[in-house]
Amino acid sequence: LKPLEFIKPESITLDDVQLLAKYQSIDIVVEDREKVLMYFKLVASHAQKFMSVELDEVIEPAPTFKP
Amino acid sequence: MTTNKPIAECSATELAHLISHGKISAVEVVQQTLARIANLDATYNCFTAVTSERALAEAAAIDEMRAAGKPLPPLAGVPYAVKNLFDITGLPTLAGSKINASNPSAQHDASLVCKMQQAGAVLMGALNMDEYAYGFTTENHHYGPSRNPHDPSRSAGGSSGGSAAAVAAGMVPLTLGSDTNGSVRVPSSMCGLFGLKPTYGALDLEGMFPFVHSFDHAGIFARSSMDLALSFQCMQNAGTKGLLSKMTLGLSGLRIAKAGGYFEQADAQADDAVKQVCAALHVHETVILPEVERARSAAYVITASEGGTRHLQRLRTQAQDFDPLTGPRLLAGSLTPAAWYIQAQRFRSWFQLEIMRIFEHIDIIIAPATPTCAQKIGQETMTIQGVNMPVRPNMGMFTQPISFIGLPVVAVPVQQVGAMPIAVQVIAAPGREDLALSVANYLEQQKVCSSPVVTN
Repeated sequence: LKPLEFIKPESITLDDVQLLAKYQSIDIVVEDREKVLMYFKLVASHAQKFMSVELDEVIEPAPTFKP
Repeated sequence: MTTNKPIAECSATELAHLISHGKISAVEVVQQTLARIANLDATYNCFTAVTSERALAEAAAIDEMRAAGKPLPPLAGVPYAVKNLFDITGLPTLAGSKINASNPSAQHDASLVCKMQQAGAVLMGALNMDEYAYGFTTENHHYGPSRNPHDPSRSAGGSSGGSAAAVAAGMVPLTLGSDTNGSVRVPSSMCGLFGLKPTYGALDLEGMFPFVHSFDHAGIFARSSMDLALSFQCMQNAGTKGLLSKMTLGLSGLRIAKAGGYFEQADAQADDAVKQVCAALHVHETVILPEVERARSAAYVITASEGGTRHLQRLRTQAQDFDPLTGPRLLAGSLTPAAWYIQAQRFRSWFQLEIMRIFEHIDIIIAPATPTCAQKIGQETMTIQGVNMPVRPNMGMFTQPISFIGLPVVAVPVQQVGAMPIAVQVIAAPGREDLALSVANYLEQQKVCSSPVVTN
């Protein structure tokens, strides 16, 4: 698998998370903001592992809709 | 008492035999089961509802069938219970949440509850779990933690923790749970049980509260591999005819390998359990599954995204009503960019193709179920091979990459003197539950794996 560039999870800020939450019409209560940031960084750190490699173009996402 | 063995220690197969031969009535079994639940559940906190009236009525119907000379179904009179994400007529389907408690009661039983009833099994109630199945420890803030019968200060595992603890303590011989990332296999390991997570799609999920569509499976807990096979056969529409007879044919010609690389990150006890199982099976080959760490990460991101999106409206309006261990995680997951999710699903396709190539020359893969045994309730971190890591997400580090591509697995329990139990995964190719169950049965016959009733 060829390596690719990906964001550094530790660079994600509370402002980034609140902006994403705004796009989902979610208002994160003050007491949860740090926890949500921590968990979002964790999601990003996992994403980094497979987003930082290139897959062949022919590989499609797993769920296949078969009408 | 009409049998020498206490009812609580009988397997489902033994109970069905006793009832069908008139050695004990189904009603008497239910009465003893209700008494045991009343006696033990304050300690282990497995049940969120006990369906006493229904159980007595179902048991009476079995006794009437027998008295009338009618043939009895294979699980006639066997008590069982289900994780509280299964619909049970007349009860709200909690899925471990406070939010769902105000939902209307279910109008119908879940499909698998119907199938168990058709097989003669008697429903005893609904069982505790992590909120919305998002956890590996059943530390539920609304309904309390389920406790491990081997040591009540420790977690029963999760998310099907109530299902596991109820079987380990001998309250019932069988329970149903769900497994999205390891929620049958992790509690099987923590509580020392046989657990079956079948092939993705093998069991009908209708009437089960969903978590992650891509990975949700129903599963079974028992204290013997035969009980797993019998109940799996009863719940399947087709395809497992003769499963029980296949299981006793032995392992001749079966190509078995131990998973190396990523799966060698467990602690000494988990590693020793794998060695014991491999020694009994005469396994000398090690197979390296490619890119398992990335597979686990892709499973993590798909779980976060699908789980978060499922609860999006509730996160917008009722965020304060979530369990503090799940609400912020679901919220973070709901923010996952689409590109991450889609690439994770592409990676899943790639990984599945790679693993299927391995199954061209291997029938069974042996791997640890958990990196360590059950940890203390409330414990935040654990140290494995010198690496300090959070307990709650990492108990599933060896199960997640397997359910990621829907492979069937039997978790087999290894009991070690003076230690908590721990399980090993017996992994087969899609649709080959028969092979995984045969290996589990062999290990049980060889006394390498066992699951005694425990109450501490």
